[in-house]
Amino acid sequence: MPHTPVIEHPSDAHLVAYMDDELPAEQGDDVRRHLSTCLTCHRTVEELATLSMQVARDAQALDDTEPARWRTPASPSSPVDAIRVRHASERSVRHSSPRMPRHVVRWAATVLLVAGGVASAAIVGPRIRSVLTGEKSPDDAPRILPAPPPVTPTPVGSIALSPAAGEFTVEIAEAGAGSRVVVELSDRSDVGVELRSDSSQVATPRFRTGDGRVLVQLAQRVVIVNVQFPRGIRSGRVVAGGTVIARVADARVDPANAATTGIAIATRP
Amino acid sequence: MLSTLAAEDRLSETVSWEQLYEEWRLPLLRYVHRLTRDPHLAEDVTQETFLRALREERPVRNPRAWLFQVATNIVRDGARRTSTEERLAPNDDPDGGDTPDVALDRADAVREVRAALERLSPRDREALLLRESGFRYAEIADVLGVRVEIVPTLIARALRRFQKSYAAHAGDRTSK
Repeated sequence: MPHTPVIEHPSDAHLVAYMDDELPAEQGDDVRRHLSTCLTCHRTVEELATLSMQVARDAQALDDTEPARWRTPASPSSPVDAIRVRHASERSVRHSSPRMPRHVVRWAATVLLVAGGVASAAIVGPRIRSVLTGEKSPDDAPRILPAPPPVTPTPVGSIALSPAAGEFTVEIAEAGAGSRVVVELSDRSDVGVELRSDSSQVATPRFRTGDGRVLVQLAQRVVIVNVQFPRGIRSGRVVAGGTVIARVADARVDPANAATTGIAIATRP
Repeated sequence: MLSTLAAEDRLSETVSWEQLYEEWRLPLLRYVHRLTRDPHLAEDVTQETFLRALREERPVRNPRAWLFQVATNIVRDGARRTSTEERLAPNDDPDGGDTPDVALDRADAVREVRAALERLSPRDREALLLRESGFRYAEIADVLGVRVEIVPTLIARALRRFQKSYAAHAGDRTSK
């Protein structure tokens, strides 16, 4: 049976899920087709992307104020030891205390949970509220892709990275002047990111130790983002103009929204 | 020197506590910093989160989501005792190296965005910041304790509320 598009005007939720590459392929195709003909929804996407970028910029501004000590590797006098000392002292107290039967512990925990209503409300509050207010997925809520299983990385097409190290290049064609590109990676150290136009180098920022992010304002129409990984990376994304154009997960890079962004992704030797 | 981990010290069956600490300390610090605007609080919450990870005896399916969920809950718990506005970082310097006029405009813009984010509900802010941290929707659902199907709705609503809050704040400023 031929597939019939079920979406007329996609909701904000659909559009956000589309921007984040979280829709199944079929729904993503529906939204993409709709966007190619609907100026109203196209503007809505731009609006949502602008709002997302404002949040991103605020996060970036805040990251820039973080204490420098956060970016230094753990030292012998680091909080690691402090945490371990606290934990060890707790365990020694716990193990030296007489043990109660498990069902008594469970019952006592239940009583404490009820008595400490304020504390428990902070944890279960959102779930309770969602029940009380009937806040639930509307009928037209987008179907979201299931969580990727935590499996061994498998290469995808020509953009697979070696689990140990790798490099990928994102070529952004027709990037409007003033567009912003954000490269975010959760890797720990020394990820080299080079940004250049087709003719000359734009900038050569380098991630700090720790999870990294580079935000660059584009001036050229064609920009090449070259990312080199000294080790396998676990997660990250490349965002251009508020739209996710590539995701990095489990040591591989997947293009996102490629059909609408015109982004070419390729590995380079 | 740190001792070798005992089996019960593992939050995950495949990753040691120290590996988790090394990998997720900074992302967690940044996430809590973005949530609370308070670097000292971010350090305290992160330390408490990893302490709870040491205490956790059962293996966890997704340690990253677990860590962020615990940190989020600690922040929520603390937020009841502390006014959010009191935690606005007064010494933020978003000016960078711009000229004075440009720096003032940038600082105003950053402050307005920040104030608008501060007026969001904790859950709205958490959803936006988790998304900003690169979490997939399934992980955001895990951290926030909601069904994955409502995550895009949460994010879209949070963005619209942020837009409304920002517009109202900017309107207040221009009318003064």
